[in-house]
Amino acid sequence: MATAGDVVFYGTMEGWFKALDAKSGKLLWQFKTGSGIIGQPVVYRGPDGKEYVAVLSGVGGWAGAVVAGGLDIRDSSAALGFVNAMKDLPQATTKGGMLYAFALP
Amino acid sequence: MPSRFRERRGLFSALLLALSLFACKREERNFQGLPSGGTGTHPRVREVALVAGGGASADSGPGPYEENAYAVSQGKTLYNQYNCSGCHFQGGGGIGPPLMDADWIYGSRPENIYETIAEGRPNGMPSFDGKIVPDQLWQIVAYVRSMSGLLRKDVAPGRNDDMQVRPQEQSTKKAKPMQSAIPKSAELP
Repeated sequence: MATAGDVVFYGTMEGWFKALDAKSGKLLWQFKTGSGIIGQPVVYRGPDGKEYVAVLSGVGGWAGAVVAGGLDIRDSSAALGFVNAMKDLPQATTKGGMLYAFALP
Repeated sequence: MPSRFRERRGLFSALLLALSLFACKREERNFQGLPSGGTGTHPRVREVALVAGGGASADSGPGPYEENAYAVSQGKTLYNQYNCSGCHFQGGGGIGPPLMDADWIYGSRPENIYETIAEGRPNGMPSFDGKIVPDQLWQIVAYVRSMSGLLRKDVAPGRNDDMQVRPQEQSTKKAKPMQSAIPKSAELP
């Protein structure tokens, strides 16, 4: 998600929420959320006139089922085989479902 | 010398006879079903798990098929035929929770598992009451318990009929059952 002020926001599977300079790609800021980020960030203007960025933290769907459902990685057929494909995900992240909102300075 | 050899051979065949008579109990086939089987009634299921003084109720012992390798392998076949694998896969879970780990939301004892299958559970587990005869249901119960290594090693299935996707039940490390918290959405009103 890119803002008019040339800042790009994105999240990683490990839970890092990052802000980059759109021109140089330099990391401006990062924050470790409670779970992996798959959702897209949104930017909005609050009733107080301030600009906010919000993102959902939490893995899910078939790809995240091994973490979200606490599945057993010894069964490679589990969750239609997604457990086998994503068996290292439990080492990278934990269950989530949190909404983070940050005020832009 | 020859007489001694004969004597030994006699002893050996006597031993073999004794072994064949007593060592194959785990392979015994029960063609009559359980005494209460086929009637459609639940043999041992209670409405509530409450016991005086709280805590866990007294262990009611193993299910009727937990010492019988033939019945457990029948349970494994039925587990796939009744499409338990559709949600629980080969024990790792998917839409349904995993069955090969130590976590048991509704209890790990044979009668707990029987009740879970017969009555169903909130959030997706359907009721199979009247769809599976009690005899076969107990075989599935025994197989489900073998998935987390709760059955004797020589009773748990040692191979799959198709591609191996998980370690055999025989070589699954025993998972000490824990009662996990019942999810809020599954609580009775």
